[in-house]
Amino acid sequence: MDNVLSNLAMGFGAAATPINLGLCFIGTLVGTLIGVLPGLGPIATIAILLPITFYLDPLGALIMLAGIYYGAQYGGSTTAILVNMPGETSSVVTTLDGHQMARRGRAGPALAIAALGSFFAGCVATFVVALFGPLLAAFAQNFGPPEYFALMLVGLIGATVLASGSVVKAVAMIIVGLLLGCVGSDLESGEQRMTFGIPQIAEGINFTTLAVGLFGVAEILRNLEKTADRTVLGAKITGLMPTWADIKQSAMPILRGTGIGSLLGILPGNGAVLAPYASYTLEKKISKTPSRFGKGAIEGVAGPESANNAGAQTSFIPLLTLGIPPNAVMAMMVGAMTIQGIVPGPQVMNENPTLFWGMIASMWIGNAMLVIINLPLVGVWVRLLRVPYRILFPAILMFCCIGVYSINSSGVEVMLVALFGGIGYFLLKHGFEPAPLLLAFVLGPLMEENLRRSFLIARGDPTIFVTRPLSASLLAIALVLIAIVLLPSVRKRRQEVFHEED
Amino acid sequence: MRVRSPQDLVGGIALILLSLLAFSQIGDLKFGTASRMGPGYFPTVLAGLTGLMGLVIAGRSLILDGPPLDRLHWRQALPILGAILAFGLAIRPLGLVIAAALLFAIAAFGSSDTKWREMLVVSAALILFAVGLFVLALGLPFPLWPRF
Amino acid sequence: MRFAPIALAAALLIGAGTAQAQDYPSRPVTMVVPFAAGGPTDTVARLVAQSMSKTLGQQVIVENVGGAGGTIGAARVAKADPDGYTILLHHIGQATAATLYRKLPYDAKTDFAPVGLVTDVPMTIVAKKDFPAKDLTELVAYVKANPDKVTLANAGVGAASHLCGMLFMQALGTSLTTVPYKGTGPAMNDLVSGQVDLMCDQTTNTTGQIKGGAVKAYAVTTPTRVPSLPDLPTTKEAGLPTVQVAVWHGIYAPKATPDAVTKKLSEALKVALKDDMVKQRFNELGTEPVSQDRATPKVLGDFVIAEIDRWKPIITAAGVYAD
Repeated sequence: MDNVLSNLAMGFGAAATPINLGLCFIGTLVGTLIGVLPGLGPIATIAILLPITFYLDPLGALIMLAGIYYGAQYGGSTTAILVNMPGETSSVVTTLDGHQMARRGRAGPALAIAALGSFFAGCVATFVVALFGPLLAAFAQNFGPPEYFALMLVGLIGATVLASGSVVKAVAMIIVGLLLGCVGSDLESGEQRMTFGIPQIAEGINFTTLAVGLFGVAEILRNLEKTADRTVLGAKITGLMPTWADIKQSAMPILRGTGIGSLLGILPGNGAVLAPYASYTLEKKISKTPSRFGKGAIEGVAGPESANNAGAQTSFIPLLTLGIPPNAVMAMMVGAMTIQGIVPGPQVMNENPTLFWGMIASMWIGNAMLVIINLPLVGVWVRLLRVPYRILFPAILMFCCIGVYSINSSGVEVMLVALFGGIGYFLLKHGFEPAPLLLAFVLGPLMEENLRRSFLIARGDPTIFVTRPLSASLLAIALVLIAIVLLPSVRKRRQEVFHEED
Repeated sequence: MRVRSPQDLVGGIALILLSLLAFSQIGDLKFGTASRMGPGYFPTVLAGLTGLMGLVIAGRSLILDGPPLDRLHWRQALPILGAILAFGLAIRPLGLVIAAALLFAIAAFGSSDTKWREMLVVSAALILFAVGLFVLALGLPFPLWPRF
Repeated sequence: MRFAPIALAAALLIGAGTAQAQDYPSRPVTMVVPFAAGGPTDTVARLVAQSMSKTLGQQVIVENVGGAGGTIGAARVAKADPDGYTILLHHIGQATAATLYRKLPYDAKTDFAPVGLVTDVPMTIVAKKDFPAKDLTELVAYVKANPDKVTLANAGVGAASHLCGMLFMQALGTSLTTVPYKGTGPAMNDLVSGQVDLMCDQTTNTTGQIKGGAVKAYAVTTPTRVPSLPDLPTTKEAGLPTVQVAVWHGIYAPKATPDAVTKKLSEALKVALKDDMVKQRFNELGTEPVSQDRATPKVLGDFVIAEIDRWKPIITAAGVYAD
């Protein structure tokens, strides 16, 4: 414990130099600003800004990159709330209730609670990383292919809860999402699956392309149906900051979200993608009034946003302690580290303690800066909603196109956005919700991969799933979840919810 | 027999069509067995389930009451989708400035209350902003103009 | 406001003049990397591009054109104007894609004007840390005795680890259960946690894990030992001389690019490979710049053809294709 404190003190000493503080500030600010642009999530943002860090010293570069990462995530939530467009997987959930709050004139409280919840989660997660990082990383090593398969299965079954309408249609969307996730070359044989001979999807459909089309473009089309002279707002803006009641309502979801996010984030197999969904599912399940979810329930913003940020933070654990990047953003961090001449691996902690602890300390500093940057900006963003839609939508369209283009410098991928936009509009018009589809699209490939890998490792022996205690318990949870979803009483309540909405 | 939920009927048929499209693409991918899955295993099972869900949802539309069909607003949708296509086609040969200008010009037809003079100013400002931010400030390798 | 775009256009068109070989380069050069930003190839490209910019007096901008195992980016350069303003930095995949993909929109042997080799990244044969074999001889004996018990991880079809794995199995005359992953990260994770037994991957990915004691290393697949892992024997020393593979990187221009231009690029590349910063960073990655005489069009041109011919039978025998 003393050791951790003295290490943290050393970290703060390294991270709090004027130059590093400045880099942290620039990173979080630029990350926030680019992340806010629709169609540009953290992955695109870091890819764009990666070359800039080239000229810095290693710690400074990593501090700035980490700042860009959180910043872009904050910015992405802002876009999710304001214009119903998720910049990455984790903000899909935020669109559900966050955007509904905005439509009801409560964009301010939604943005503020997202910032505050994230800050709290970030603080807690920083200490989780510092105190238990290596320990948790060792535990996470127990997760092999069978465990990941079981975990993804739990996530998928939970996805039905995301839907605010018909369960049957939500299940259909999950299956379609899984099907879309199969597109691309087969991992084992390398064969092309359902790619229609288009080389741009030979490695699978890009998440950003799909999300921008299904959510962003479809949303624009829906809004344009009404006269475009109006604004995004359906109601008068009622207050910029959360009320005391809002905060009381959000406190427990923030705590629970922080816990869920911190736990899932440590899994090196990209468990963090599940964090916001798990939090949303939990909040909706234990809520006394689940019918409010999907219609602007503040818990549906507070919980997932905290879970998201906590997971983002703790997903540094596999990177820093094992040298293994759990997701695309962390893989880019590895690239940044190697450009800087640091070979990521378990030895970084011992060989480069200043870097290791400096980065952990900078996480806390970065989170504090984000709150300072973002709370005053809430007013600015909310004012953006007053801009007439006929001016706002061309801007959204342009940033979407540029964002998608910037990923692979590919015009074809921009054209795919139009296709998915058309599909998204069709879904919207026929009572299908895109959120379960998108979650399944992300989880599907992970599930298939790990299922087939488990069989390879076990040489075709299916008992591998039940003889390993962790995998067996996760599968048991999946069974319980199925039972809950299928339970008649629950189903009846869902039907009521459905009819209430009509 | 009466269609009680037209939305579900159309949605169900769309799922069935999607399933057929998927099957046509799966072709001769190897199916394998449950313990040694081939590349075709997941796609085939999922395409089958998609079709099944389509049947369930379409069938259900004859029994359960549901909302009527919501009109698709093609006059708004087509210009927007076309604008994105145009941007995708134009960005590499013609460069960012012309691609963005095309995007705005076509998208403007999608909004019923476009004010052309205002749109011109907004477009110019947005193009300048994008060029300044992405190309000049961030140094992204975007082509700006056509190459002669 | 209205004149701003015109002024900007004028400013950008100045200097865009005609591409004459003698005043090349008169505008920025785009270096296409056919993989995502932040990956190992991107790292090599950015280090070299930065130094080449200084020599050429024009920015060399790295553009990431990922997708389809690097073939989309390669195809784009193959079809670009042969004026030297669009060049490609690709790794060994330039040669293996010729066999892995049966339908390519370009011919890797004839559609490029080679500029020069950049670096060879050695590969290492590693195992989970409690794997029974003590050295490479024991490993070979163990694998031959228990071919159905040993699992071999790779980072996906066409990845360097996949190629090295095929070579390893060919050298041993056995076929192991190969467990594919999407990228090196997850594969390394399962190796570290002992879910899979063996892997052969680039030093870029393994050096940290070897030094940290998270995996057991048996040999390096180059003719000489690598400076960052001085205790690790070569495959030749340890008794598997045919397992020779390095992830080489080369720079290419589209075919019909004037010789004067590729020569100028090659000269700039040579300067970059002598640059202390580049050398130091390469060293930290567990690799070294190639010798000056290999950073030339002639050597790369011959090398690509030799490598295509070398991998063709190995890939064909394994019967794995990426399309």
